Formats: sequence, structure tokens, C-alpha cells
Amino acid sequence: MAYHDDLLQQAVALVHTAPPTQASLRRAVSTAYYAVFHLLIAEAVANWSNAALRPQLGRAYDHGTMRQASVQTANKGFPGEDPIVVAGLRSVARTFDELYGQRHFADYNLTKDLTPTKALSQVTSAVTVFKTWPSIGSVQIAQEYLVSLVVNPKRAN
Amino acid sequence: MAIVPAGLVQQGQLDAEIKSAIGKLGPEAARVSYGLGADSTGEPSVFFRIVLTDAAAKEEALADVTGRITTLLFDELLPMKWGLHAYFNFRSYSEYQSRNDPEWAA
Repeated sequence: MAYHDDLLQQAVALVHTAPPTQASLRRAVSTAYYAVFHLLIAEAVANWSNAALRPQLGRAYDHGTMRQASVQTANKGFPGEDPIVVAGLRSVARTFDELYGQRHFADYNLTKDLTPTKALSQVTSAVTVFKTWPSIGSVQIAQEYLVSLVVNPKRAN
Repeated sequence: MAIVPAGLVQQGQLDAEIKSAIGKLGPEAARVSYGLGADSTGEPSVFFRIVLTDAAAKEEALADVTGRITTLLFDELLPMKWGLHAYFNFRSYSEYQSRNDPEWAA
């Protein structure tokens, strides 16, 4: 099983820990983020034909750049493209952006409780990304999204 | 020079758009409120606080319900237009009642 699949499975198990604790709920959200993070990297580097070098290439990905690219994609229109693919892609990108922030909250911000429903909704959104990606991943706009995750946009001037 | 997000400068217009979007939600969203502020990474954000009916918050329905609500609010608002990230925080009605959290009561 791929590493990102293991992470997702672990997030699902953590969010169902009974009774729920702040530790299990927070680890569940954090793990859900990393599951999506590693899924997208794995999909991107799969385009590199030399499989042995893919893990090294994956090290080039940066959380902040991936978030920035995801925000752009989530808020973008894709005129002329299949609306189902567009909805799926924007949903994946939106989920990455939100999970990025929710992961940060879960790991560092203890000023507020993380409730079971909030944690479960974040984990289920990661599960939805895993279900959505296979049906859209080969489409050109999804491939362009994968490239944007690693390409730090140059300044306009 | 710091750049102030459009959502903070034009808050009246943002409020109107958010309220219009909230009005389009179905009955599974028992209560919706929102606030503006910085997220845990310091980025300007809008935080939706969405109370779901207990039926809608059940695990078998949750992905579908939260997906629909999130998509509708996000697409109506397009947060980047306002310079904001968007967070969708869900609670079941039972959680909402038992926690008596002032932020969520507002």
C-alpha cells in the first residue's frame, strides 16, 4: 500500500478512536493533511519516468508553494472544460488549502477545542480527495495543477 | 507596504455576499455564522461556523452534506477575490448545545 494510502487509513482510524481525545482528533486532522500532501506529490512525480528517483524529486515540493497553487486553482474558472472535472479539481485544491490551515491549527493552536464533528469533516474531506482524484487526475487541467504545485510563480516584475 | 485584503476594506459588501450565500443553504445547516481574522498561519481568513442538524452530522451523511455546503459557500464567495482563505468548521447540533460556546452563539 502506498504511503499516502497508509496515512489516510491512519487518519480514519484516529478520528474513530473511542473515546475521542484532543490528541487523537488533532492527530487525525494532521494526518489527513499529510495524506493529501503525499498523494498529490506521488501523482506529480509519477510523471517522472525514472521511478527510482521519484522520492528525491518529491523532496522539491514545498507546503507554502503547494498552498499558493491550490488557492489559485480553487478560485479559478476553467471555461470550456468539463464542468464535472472542474468541480472535482477545484474541490481537491480547496480541500488542500483548508487542510493546510486546519493542520496548523490541530498541531499548534490549543486555545480552542477541536470537536469530533470538525475533525471527522476534515478527515472525510481528505477521503473525498482520494475518491475524486482517480477520475480527474489524467485530465490536462489536473496535470497542470500538479505542475503548479512545484513551480514557484515568478514575480510579475 | 502591507496589503490589506479587499474583504477587510469592503467588509459591508463582503457581509452582503456572505449573507446571500448563506440564504441559499438547505435545512441541514441549522445555523451559520462567520467571522474574519487571521488563521493559525497568520493569513487573513473567513471562518464559517456551521451547525448541522444531528441527522446531517451522522458519518454516513457528513461527506455529502459538508461537500455541498462548502462548495456552495466557496463558489458564491470566491474567497481569493477578497484576499481571504476560507475555513468551514462544522458542529452537530448536539455539540453546539452541549458546548455553549459564545463564539458559536454569536
